[in-house]
Amino acid sequence: MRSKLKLIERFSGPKASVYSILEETAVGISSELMFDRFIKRYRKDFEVELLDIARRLHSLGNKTGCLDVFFKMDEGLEVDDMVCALYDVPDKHLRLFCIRPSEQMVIIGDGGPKTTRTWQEDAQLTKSVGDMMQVSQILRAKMNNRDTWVSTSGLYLEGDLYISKT
Amino acid sequence: MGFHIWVIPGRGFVHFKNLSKMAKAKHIDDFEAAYHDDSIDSLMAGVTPEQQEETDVKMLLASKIYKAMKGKGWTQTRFAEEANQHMSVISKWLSGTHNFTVETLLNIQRLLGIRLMDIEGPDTSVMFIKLSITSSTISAEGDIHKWIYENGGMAASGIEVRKESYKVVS
Repeated sequence: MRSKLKLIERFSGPKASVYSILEETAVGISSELMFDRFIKRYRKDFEVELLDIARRLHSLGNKTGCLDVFFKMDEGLEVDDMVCALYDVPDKHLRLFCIRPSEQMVIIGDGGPKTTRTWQEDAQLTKSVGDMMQVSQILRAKMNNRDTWVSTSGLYLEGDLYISKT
Repeated sequence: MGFHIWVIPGRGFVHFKNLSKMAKAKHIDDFEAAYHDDSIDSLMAGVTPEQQEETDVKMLLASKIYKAMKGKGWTQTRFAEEANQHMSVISKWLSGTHNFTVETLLNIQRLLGIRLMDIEGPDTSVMFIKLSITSSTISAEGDIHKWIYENGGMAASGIEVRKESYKVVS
């Protein structure tokens, strides 16, 4: 299944760019962002939390940038994988996993309600973190090879944004 | 080896290898062009400007506190000690999700030496005043607008003409 980083213009602004991963769902027919899937899966039961997440993503892009304090850092298993989660609203536990390359950029993925002490105890959360760790690994390799780079403004990823071409 | 040539109506002959590259490029283009999901727009349609403003303010407050904390060279641990709070409370304050009370904001202001509530600043809201002008030099409505502009006012409306003078009533 092919996938690619895609800028979400609805959330992005002068302070930060918000990306998600566009995945092909049927060859040449349909594709979907990981974040679209997150919305569809939880909109019925967690609409208030989803709206709060959407508002905060818009604020990150347009008002504040992606300060580290807005995220739970070090959610991934590798030291430098940049995998984190948007800070949970107190008493709400819908967790959205992300990759945060800098204060001016965040890649949002998928997630789910955190009802266990650690994400490793929940199948959906484990998959979401695993996906983000994989994206991070590919992105870091591409950046090391200079196939992908950060724009001079610091706001955008440029070059090869494909995560998987096959 | 035979000739690998394809014929495309209107485009002449294309070598097989080039055609393969073209097909691959088209395939990737289709992948992106096939994105028509409106989940994000549909979700954001449920956000009112007032709700977005509330979130913006919460996050800007957290950002200002965080930057002031860093400006003082404090870690979150030091901030927690100075504020006599648990680390988890500081994390919430800085998360952009916290509903601050006035008391908490005042404490943070004192600790970090910053202003988070500007309640003594100038009132920049529109002021409506009523005044009567009697003048021998004002002879037309345009003169009244000019006079208001020259005296620092922005606009006049509801101008009533009374005999040989104009009266601005709002």
